[in-house]
Amino acid sequence: MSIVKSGYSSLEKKVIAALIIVLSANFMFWLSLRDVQAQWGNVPPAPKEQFAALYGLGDEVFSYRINALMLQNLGETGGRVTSLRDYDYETLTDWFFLQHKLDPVSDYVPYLASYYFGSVQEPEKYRPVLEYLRLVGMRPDGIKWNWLVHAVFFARHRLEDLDKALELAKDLAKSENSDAPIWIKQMPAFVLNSKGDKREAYSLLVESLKANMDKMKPEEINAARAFICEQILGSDEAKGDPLCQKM
Amino acid sequence: MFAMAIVLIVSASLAVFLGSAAIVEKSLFTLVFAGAGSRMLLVLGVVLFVVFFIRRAFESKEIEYLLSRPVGRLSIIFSFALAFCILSVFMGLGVGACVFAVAPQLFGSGHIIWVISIMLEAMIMANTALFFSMYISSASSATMATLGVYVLGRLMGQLLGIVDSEMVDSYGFYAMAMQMVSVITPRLDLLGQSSWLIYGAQEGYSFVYALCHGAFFSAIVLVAASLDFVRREF
Repeated sequence: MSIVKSGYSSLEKKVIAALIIVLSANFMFWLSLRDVQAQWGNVPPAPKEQFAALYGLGDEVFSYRINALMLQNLGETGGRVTSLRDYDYETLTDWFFLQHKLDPVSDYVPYLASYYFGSVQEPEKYRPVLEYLRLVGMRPDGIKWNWLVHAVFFARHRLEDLDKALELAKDLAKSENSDAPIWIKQMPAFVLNSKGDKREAYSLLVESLKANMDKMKPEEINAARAFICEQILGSDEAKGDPLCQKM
Repeated sequence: MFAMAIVLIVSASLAVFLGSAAIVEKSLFTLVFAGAGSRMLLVLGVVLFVVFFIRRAFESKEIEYLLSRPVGRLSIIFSFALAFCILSVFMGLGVGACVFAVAPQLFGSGHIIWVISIMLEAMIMANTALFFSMYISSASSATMATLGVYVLGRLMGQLLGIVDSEMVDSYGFYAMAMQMVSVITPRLDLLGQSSWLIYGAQEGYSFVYALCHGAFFSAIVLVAASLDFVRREF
C-alpha cells in the first residue's frame, strides 16, 4: 500500500521548477526550429555499380526495389510536390542505368521512366532518358520493345527530332523478340515518311511486306497497305500502284 | 516463437503496405520486401535466442550442472548446435509460409530454393552466435559481434567486387586484409537472393555448393567454440 503525501518537499519543488525550466527552454528551441524543414536537393547522385547492392545488404533485387520506390517518390515527400521540369534528368538517367544493372528483367523502372518521367513539360530535358530506353528496349525478353517504341514516339512527337527518332526506330527494327508485332520492324518507314523521305519509306515497307507476308496477320497486311497507299503515296500515285488496286 | 510469429506477421503487413505504394508490379514489390525483411528478422531472432540462451545457461550454472553429469563437453556443444539447427529449420519454414502468404500466386520452385537457403543461413548464424556466446561473456557484445559477421557476410560479395575492381589496388594492404577476412567469412550474399522469389533460381546455382558452404563454415565456428569450451575451467 503506497502512502500519498500532502504538499511537496523542498527537493520536489526544485525538481518541478527544473522540469518547467527545461520544458520552457525546449519550447523556445522548438519555436526557432518550427519553420526549418527538409529541403530537396534535387535527384541525389547515383552510386557506382560496385556499391549499388549495398543498399539491400548485398541483395541486388532488394536494392532494385528500394531504389525504385525511392525514384517513384522522389521530390514528393514531406508534403512537398516537385514539378518534373525541376528534376535533374541527367542524374535521374544515371539511376535508371544503375537500376538496369541491378535487375534488367523488371519493367518497373522502364515504366516509371516512360510514363511518369516522360510527362516532363520540357521535352528536351528527357533526351538522356532515350538512351536508357534504347538499352532496355533492345532486350529480347517480354515486351521490352515497348519501351523503345515509347522512345521513338517521344523523339518523333515531343522532341520533334526526326533524326533521333529514325536512329531509335532502326534499333527497334533490329529487335530479336520473335513475339513482337511486325509493325516494330516497319517503324523506320513510318519515321522516314514523317521526314518526307517517301521513296525510302515506300521501299522499306514493301520489302517488309514481301519478307514477312507469310507471318503477317490480314489486319497487319491491310494496315501496311493502307499506310503505303494513304500516307506515303499521293492519290495519283496510289491509283497507279498495284499494291493499292484492290483497296 | 510466439513473438517471432508476431514480428513476421507485422513484417509481412509492412511489406504489403510498401508494395501497395508501387504504381505497377505491386505483388513483386510485396514479395521482395516480405522476403528480404523476414530473412533479416529470422537471423535476428535466431541470433538473439542463441546468445541469450547460452549466456543464461552459463549464468544460471546450468552448464556446470550438465558438466557434472556423465556427458562429454563436445557432446554438449554439438547437442546445442543440433538443437539450434533444428530450431532454424522450423523458423525458416515459418518465414517461408509468411512469404508464400503475401503473394501465393507467385509461388514457384524459386520459393523452395529460397526457403532452404535461408534455413542454411539461419543455421550458419546460429552456430556463429553459439561461438561468440561461448567466447564473449557479455550477451550484448556477443550479439553485436554475431550481427557484425552477418552484415560482413551479406556484403562480402560486394566488398570483394570492389577489391577486384580498378577502384583500388588489389594488392594493397587493405585489399589483402579484406581478402584474408573473406577466407573466414560466410558468403551469405549467395544465399536467399530475392531474385529467386520472382525469377526462380538462376541456372548453375548448386545446392551442393550451398550445403558445403554452410557445413564448412559451421564446422569452423563449432570447432573453435569447442576449443574454448574444452579448455575452460569451471
